[in-house]
Amino acid sequence: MKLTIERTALLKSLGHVQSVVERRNTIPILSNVRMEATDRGVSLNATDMDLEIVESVAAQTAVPGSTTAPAHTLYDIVRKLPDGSQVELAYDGGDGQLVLKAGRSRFSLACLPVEDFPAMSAGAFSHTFSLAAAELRGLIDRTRFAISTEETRYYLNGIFLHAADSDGLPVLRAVATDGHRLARAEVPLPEGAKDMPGIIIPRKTVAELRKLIDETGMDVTLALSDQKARFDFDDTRLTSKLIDGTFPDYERVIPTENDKVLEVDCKLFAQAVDRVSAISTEKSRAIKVTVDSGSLTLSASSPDAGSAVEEIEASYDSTAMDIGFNSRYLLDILGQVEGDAVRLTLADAASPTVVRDVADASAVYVLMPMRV
Amino acid sequence: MTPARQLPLNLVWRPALGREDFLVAPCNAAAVALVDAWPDWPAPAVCLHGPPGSGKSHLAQVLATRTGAKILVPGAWEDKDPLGLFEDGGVLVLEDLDEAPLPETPLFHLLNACRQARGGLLLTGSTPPARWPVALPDLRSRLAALPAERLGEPDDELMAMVLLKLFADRSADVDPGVISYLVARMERSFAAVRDLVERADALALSERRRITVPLARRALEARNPEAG
Amino acid sequence: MTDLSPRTNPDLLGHGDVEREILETQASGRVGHAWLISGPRGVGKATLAYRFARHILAGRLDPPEGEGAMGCGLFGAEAAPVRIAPDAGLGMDPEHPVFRRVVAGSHGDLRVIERAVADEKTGRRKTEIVVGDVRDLAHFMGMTPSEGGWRVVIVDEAETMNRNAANALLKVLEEPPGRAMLLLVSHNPARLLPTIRSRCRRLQLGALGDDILEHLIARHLPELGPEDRRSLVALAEGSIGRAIDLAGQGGLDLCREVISMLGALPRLDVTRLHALGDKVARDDQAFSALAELFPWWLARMTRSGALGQAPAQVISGEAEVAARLLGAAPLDRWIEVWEKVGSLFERARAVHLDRKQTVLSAFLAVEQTLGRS
Repeated sequence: MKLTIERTALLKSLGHVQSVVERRNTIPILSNVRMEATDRGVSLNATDMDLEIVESVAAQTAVPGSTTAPAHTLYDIVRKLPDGSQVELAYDGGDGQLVLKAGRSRFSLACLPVEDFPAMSAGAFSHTFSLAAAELRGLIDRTRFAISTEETRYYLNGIFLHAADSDGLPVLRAVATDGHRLARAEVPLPEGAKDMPGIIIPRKTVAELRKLIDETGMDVTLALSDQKARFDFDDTRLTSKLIDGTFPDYERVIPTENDKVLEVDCKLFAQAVDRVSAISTEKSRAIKVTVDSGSLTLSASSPDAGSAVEEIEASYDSTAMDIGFNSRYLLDILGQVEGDAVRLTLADAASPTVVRDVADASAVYVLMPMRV
Repeated sequence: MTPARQLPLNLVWRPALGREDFLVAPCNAAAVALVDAWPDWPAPAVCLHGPPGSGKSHLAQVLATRTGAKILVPGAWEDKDPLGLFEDGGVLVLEDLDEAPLPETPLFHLLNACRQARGGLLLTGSTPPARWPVALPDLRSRLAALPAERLGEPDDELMAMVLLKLFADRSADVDPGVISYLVARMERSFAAVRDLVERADALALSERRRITVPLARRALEARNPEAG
Repeated sequence: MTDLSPRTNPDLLGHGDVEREILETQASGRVGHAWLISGPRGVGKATLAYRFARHILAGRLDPPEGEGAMGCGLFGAEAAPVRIAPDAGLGMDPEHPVFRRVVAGSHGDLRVIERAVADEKTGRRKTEIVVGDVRDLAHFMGMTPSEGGWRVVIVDEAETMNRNAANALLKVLEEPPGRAMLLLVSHNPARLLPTIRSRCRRLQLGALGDDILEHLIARHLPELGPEDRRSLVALAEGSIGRAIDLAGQGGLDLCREVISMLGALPRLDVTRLHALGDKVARDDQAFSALAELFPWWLARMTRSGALGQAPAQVISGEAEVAARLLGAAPLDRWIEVWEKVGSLFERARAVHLDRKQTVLSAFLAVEQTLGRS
């Protein structure tokens, strides 16, 4: 293998793939990036055995071939090379060394055989469709905060993506829950996604995906099966395992009969919650919300810190009630609301509360109260 | 002041209702054998009876999946032409017949049509059909003559298996020892198993704990989850 | 030295019957979710587990496309009987991609659970498999497979799992996900939880025959002459692992030395005794070999005395030594000596008694028995 490549392009691509590689690996080859040079350029591939990122970069290939070399070391070297340099990568297989030359620098890196590199076989995909990057970002951002971090409930450790029917309209839906709150966001169902299998995308994949979306404004092509999901960006392909479990029947926990409607300015509400929660205990983060006609009062008290009360204006004309919430959860949800006003529909102090962005019907949040 | 306590969402999973998910034990083996025997039933219409939660609906689902049987909903079939319902030897299921007043005349016609159309009919109820309160003498004698199998109260082994299945339906993570702890102490009924699993899972979710023996004990002690 | 590591070793001799049993079970469509491979140490249990794992990972468990799929009928359709060639086994070319990745540790659908390395330098492992070693399993089983087929877990020395680790494993055994296989390896399955044992299909490996053992020793220890090879066959008692360990620990020489010193009793050659004591005090491996061989040889001698026949000659001259010792004291005295020497070495290992002292005490025990008669 022998190729020449522009330093900036190499650095960008290595940056993408090396973020997947764990810093500490007991299995040597998992620290490596696999590179393959063809007439079309070079592809870089790294994996943590749960997900894999492959980058294609333009390069002048003199001799096609492939090898694997330590990802973080390679990234560090390329990062420190002067901007604008041309990098030559050569591997002749003889001494098992990858030789990197740029200007007057020369590095030799120990390689491992390409045959030993993990193979994440994608298998056959049953559904392929495209989605604007902004749409995928919206699905992720409005749900990922609710992903469970409890490892024993591994089937909640991801975003459930599936095709659904929303008042007669076919939608692509993302749902996440940790058992205390639930977030559901949707976009119109892309062509080709009809009858797709419901899949649970693992948390780490969601994070990597989110990073990649930020760097591209283009469409994303998704290919799915019940075993894998693949996301194609311009030059980057992320393939991921899925969580092998059943997501709960989430529709049953979204109340439809809540009849007490509270509307409040989202920003004022969030700021007040943030202030009052300074008093609530570190562990529970509980605050009490008291609603009465035309107003909303937030309060918190803790045996150590004291107490806090704040009243804000709100539209409410049902019976007065008290309800407790974890302030952190409330802020997480309010942080996703882009419109000016937020609408809470309540039933009682022990039942799930529904939160919506008044200006956006495509997301729903459900929050279980705290008994305070 | 009691510390604030986070309430959990009542996350539920669709129960697994395949034949392989049905747990066979001595108390229900005869009923399972009857359902499995279709189409070689001793009579065109048969009956399963047993307490709530003993698996009647599950077996009805199993039959429906295997034969394409239609499960009739009360109020939706009584006016229809009974022969038409059976179209070419079809199979029908009527559930929980002794819970509401029996539609006596339509049921009588349905039984006749079943024989005539060479179809199959599965009836379920909590008591044996001979004891269903029926005024029509012809229907009463027909019901009394139905081949009927009982799904009984569970023995320990089945209780353990049902606990395991229900926890699995909820994808709940159960520590070793919990199942045998519960089996040794809980009420012998399917309804109790369901309640208990729900309570234990809710506690675990609320407190972000695994289902351990101490947690199971609290679930057993707390009759009403809201009282905890 | 040769690499007999089960991860890298492509060969297994002497267990063709067991591999055929696996293939027949597979052909009948009842391959299940868990197997327990048991048998004496060093006969190839883990090697078999790796062979089975590679077989599964290469997709050889599933019938080839279009050849009468089995077990997929809704009503458990009768599986078409699959013919097994008489020489069929679980072997695989070491250049096969699955073999390569298993060796490299980079096969995404294989997890191996074993005692963690406690000391990076010596490679010494901890005494137990703890729950932390098993924890990753829940994540592994909770994700779809990497290469699209089965997920396989090997638990080596499964009897070293402590209670918590065993319980964690039990949970996977109770509700295995689809297309997941657990292969437990144990030379002492009686120490496993009964609930684990009862959930596994059993495979029992026997000791290797002398001819197979001799063949293997010739292959893996080509430097040994024919006489040493035959001695080692007798010492190793059907275990190639034990043969290689003993050879690596200088077991043959130690055995000769011990027998020759026993032959000189009741005269105790103090210089040689100190030299032996110093050697095992310095050298862990030699001490392990001696701790194994000394009581083993006494047991063999006692057994042959009980049966009234001479033991097979492992080391030239040993029969005369045995005969002389047996003639010098009654059998029940020798049984006591054997037990005493055994427990001396056992305690030395357990509580790190002074090794030189242990060797001295062992010889004194024999010497006193001779002296008293």
